[in-house]
Amino acid sequence: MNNTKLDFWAKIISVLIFLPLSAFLVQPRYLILPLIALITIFIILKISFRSFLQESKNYIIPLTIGLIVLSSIFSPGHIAGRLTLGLLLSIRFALLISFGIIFSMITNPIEFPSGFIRVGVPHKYGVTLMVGYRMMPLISEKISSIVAAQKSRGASFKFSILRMGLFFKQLFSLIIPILHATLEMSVRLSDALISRGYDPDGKISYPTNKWGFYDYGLTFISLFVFGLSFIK
Amino acid sequence: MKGWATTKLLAVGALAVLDVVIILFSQMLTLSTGISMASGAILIFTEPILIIICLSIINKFGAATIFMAIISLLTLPTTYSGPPGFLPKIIVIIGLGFAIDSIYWLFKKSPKILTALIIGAIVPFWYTYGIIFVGKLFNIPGIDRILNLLPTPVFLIAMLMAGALAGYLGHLSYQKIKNTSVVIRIQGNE
Repeated sequence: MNNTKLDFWAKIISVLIFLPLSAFLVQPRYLILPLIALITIFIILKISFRSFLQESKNYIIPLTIGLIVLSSIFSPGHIAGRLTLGLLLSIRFALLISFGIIFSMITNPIEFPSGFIRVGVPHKYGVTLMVGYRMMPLISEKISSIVAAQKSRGASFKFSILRMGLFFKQLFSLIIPILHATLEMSVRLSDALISRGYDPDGKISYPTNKWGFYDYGLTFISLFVFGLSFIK
Repeated sequence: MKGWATTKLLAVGALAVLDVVIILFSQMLTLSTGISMASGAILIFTEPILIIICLSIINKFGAATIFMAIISLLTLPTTYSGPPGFLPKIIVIIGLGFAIDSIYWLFKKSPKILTALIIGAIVPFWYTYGIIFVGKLFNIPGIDRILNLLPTPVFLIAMLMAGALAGYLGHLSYQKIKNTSVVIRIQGNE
């Protein structure tokens, strides 16, 4: 998978906003257009279909069946019409979910803060998100060490339906040490930022926007498909 | 939202990340046990607990919104609250943060425990009705019938009880840590 070709905002605008919207608004006879756009993204970004299938099968298959069943029960009209309506709705949903999954496959969460900073969102929120993202492995590590310490004191965290109450009681016994460790870590990180002169309301230099051929191309395609959604 | 000190911002971020780590753990639990309710059974308690702790420590309008915004963005590629990359879930989650901030601000002069109970009870409601709102937005067949079924007394009481209990646990947890040096340090930074 090649995910370096697209700019964060090109992905947001095209894959997360205009293409999913057009999949829902477009007339049934034009539904092929968002599908073509989806296939184009697959080819250009060299997304592995196997990993896409792995991510999406748990949603698309039950959703397709569920929507057809729901439509056949609740929609008005003859049974053939209800089934067609259900099928149409499930295709729209499958496209919507596919675009979402593609977005999550080609986007690293660390792109969010820099993307926000670039469009003028106060950097203090972007920095909070960035530091938060970096904190995830540290907090996981801390939780593991707290769990190990509790286990060494005789606690057991094995899940069993018969002893569900005890399981949750054991989990809640971890809250205070985990909370304390998390807050301590946040204070240490904020000290590190402050000591380097970071001011949440001060000015910082912003990275520049550099849109390439693929960014403009994808945005143009998504706008074109979105524009066609309004043709009756 | 002016006047946010770095320490307070990072404390909100750290609590949000802790929630994300718990979300990921609960999803792994669902996968490993095969019990789809396992994840929800943990999150129905942990989420209000962390929100109440965050609000009590920070005590500023916007804390819950930032908290939920971080969660929504970090969990966008996960299956939390909807399929990966599903944009409407960001709106539902951030909306919940704003609603909590507004309630916290409205009940500012009320006893903290009452605020914790109300906020705890609202979280499961918001998620349930948020899903219905998205369903109505996309015109899913039969969504109106589900909407009619939801306000049954058993369902309402179960949601209220679970959420309020979580809010109470959040309040209790805050009482246990409020005098620690780290919390005093965070609260002292304006």
